[in-house]
Amino acid sequence: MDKMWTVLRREYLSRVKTKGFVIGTILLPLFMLAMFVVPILLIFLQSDESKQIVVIDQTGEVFDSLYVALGEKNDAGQRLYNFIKQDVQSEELEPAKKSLSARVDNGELNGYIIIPPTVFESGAAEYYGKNVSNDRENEEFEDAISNIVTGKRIQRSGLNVEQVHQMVRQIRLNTFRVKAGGQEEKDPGFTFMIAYFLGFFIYMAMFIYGSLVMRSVIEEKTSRVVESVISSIKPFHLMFGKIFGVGAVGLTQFLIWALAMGLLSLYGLQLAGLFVADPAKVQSAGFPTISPGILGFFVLFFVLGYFLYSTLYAGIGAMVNSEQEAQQVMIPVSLLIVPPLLLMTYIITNPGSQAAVIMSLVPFFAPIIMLARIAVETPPVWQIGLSIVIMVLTTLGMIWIVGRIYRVGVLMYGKRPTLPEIIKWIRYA
Amino acid sequence: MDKFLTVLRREYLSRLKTKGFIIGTILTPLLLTGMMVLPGLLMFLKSDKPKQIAVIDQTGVMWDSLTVNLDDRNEAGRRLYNFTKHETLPAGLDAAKKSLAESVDHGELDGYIVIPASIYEDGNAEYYGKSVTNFRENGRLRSVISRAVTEKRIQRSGLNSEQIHQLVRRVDLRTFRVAEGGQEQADEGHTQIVVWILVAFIYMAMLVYGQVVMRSIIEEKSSRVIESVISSLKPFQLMAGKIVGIGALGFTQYSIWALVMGLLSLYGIKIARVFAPKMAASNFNLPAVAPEILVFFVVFFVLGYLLFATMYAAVGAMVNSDQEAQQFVFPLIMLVIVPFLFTSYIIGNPGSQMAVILSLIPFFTPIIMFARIIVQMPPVWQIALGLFLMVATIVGMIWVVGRIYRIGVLMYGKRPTLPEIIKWIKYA
Repeated sequence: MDKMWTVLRREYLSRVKTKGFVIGTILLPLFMLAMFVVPILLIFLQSDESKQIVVIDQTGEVFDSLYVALGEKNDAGQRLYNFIKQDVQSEELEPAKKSLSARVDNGELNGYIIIPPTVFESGAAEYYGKNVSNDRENEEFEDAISNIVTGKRIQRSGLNVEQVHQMVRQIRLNTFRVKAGGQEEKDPGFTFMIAYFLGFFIYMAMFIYGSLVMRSVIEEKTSRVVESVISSIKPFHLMFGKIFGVGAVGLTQFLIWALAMGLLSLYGLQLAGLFVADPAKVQSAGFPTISPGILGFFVLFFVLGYFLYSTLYAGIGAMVNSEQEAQQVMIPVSLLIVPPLLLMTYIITNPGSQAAVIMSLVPFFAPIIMLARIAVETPPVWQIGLSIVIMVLTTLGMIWIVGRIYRVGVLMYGKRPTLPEIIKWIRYA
Repeated sequence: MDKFLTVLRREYLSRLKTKGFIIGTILTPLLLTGMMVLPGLLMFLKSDKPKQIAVIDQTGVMWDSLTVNLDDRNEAGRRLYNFTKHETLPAGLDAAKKSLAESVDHGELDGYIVIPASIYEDGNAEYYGKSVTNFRENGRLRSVISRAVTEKRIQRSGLNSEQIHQLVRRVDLRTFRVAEGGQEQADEGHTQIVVWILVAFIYMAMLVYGQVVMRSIIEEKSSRVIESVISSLKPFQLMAGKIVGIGALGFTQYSIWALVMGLLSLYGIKIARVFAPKMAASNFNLPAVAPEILVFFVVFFVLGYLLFATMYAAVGAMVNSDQEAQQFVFPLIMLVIVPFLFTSYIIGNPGSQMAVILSLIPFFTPIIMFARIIVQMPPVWQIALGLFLMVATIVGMIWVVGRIYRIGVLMYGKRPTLPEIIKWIKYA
């Protein structure tokens, strides 16, 4: 026990004190944030070049309103969409299109829109462009033309435009979540985000720290250090010291992040208030809050999931001779971690479905799936209890098996053991 | 040259013949398709458990349209939404909500809907549920209630609802892409799909095969095999042989995938028709890729791979173990991820100033210039300049990395510092 403690302390301290740990702790959240935020920001980033677009308005009624409706200007004061009116008779449409396409091709124009005289009845218009993959732009055009056309239609029928729009306005369905004890809480989608993030964190913890354990085993094995260590400590204690030590590193890292997030959600609003002119806007955005009960479950599943997977990874590390070999042996384990992540959207949207219940009882999936279910709705207590019991039993079984593989494996070099050999190892008394 | 070929052949064949290569070639596409298709399929998987939902309908007229329009049934023919009417006076609303919330908490109900009498004017309804994260379901409820409310509003005003719907019908703007030579082709998002798939392939090639080069060097270094190898051939020959050999391997793998994809797109629809006649009936077309784009794909694949494989080789030569390599690899990965993040912006604005600048940075060119070429052919001078800059960078990199490699592969112990590496490069 004493020796296990020594290993634990060494594994923990030697990792926490490295520059890598400090940098990783700071960089990883920034990196993740960037991965989420940058693409979203880029969607809103619109190029401010002025686009030349010819409009063939065969109705003669749409162009003026379109010119006004899409009149945004860039910083230089140029219109973003410089619409140019072109009158074309129906019989001349084909040659006109041909010459416009040629002008688009040689770069004079960015595109052209054709509004046929039948637009009021058929509801179809056409947009030809050098690039039509800008969904936002396409939608902007479609919205603007739709609005104009429906407006004209209503006017023609002699009704009041405002009144008609009032009649067909969609309703808002405000969603509230009924929490334990029958309390209602407004939920415009926060729960979904929370469940997803928590599940993702557990996934990362199992994957990253698990493979850290594996690497550490392989490193000691290839450098033959393990031979001298094993002479003074039982393999089982070494393995456990490693698993606990690396797990403590992971927990430390997560605590730091949790603390930072907690501080951010407390003071972040005030900070944001300094920069954003309209504090009411920030206030109403609100940070989703996580209840302490869910945090408790998060820690529980973090610990259980980590133990299960780091044991598996330690077994792999003991079996192989190099990291390259490990890549292949790792595949089955990675295949166990990834499916719950892929299924998360389904689980979050259907937390009570049969598939969700079954998946959350499979011990290898439980850490992510059960946690996601708990975050979204509280499943029956017996299901939570059962899944935890199954997980603990599986982990204990795994520890027994892997302990035996480890004992023999760390001192085996040369060719990778075959499955029958590994079974023989496990059977050794 | 002879020795270079020996290394190349050995690197290529020794990997090609492994089970890992065969498994990887088969599994990777299956896994990728699984990852993309599975979540999508699951979204359409209907929950089979009927939901018990209470409705407090203060308008008194919404109940019928709700039960008629939300009539989904599971395979056993049972209704998926079992609505129960809950009558209450406006004054008793809070008490009713409270007791319903308790029923939800106990699991007797899955949720309840409150449709207030004021819905015609302010358009607000409320849904309370044990979980409200099923956006598809929320959307259905919303649209069913919306439709019913609209009908009632129109009825009340004495107009013809068919006529009103005709009036407010949206315009459908069909998009056509003007391709080279002024030819127009209908484009409903096909181009975007093509860009994403091809760019993801280039991205993978740069990341995956580059790492294989690095690992192979680290392995030879840590097993000291390299010392005997270097005694019989120049380090540069070894490095070049490795890079080209593994590149050829990647190319082989991609060719196999391309072949399978080609066959699938030719015969896939026929096969699909056998299994799912319904799906094949809807005109489902695989987006076609123009031949010149395939040529550009090969060019950027090769150049991108060479650029990143050379840098990975340098990392392999500098470090002593895979663990040490992780830190150096991080900036390299960033160089690949950054352009990938920009892809959606580039697709939307392929001609913008930012797109032009980014596509001329050699490390980003393979992904960004390629995306631009697919979406909208950039001016020839830009493509040429981008290619020229890339080739120049690769040649420069090979020179620098060759020098690092020459010394690095025989260095053990502590990791070299930056000044040391610069000294290595300066050695004649």
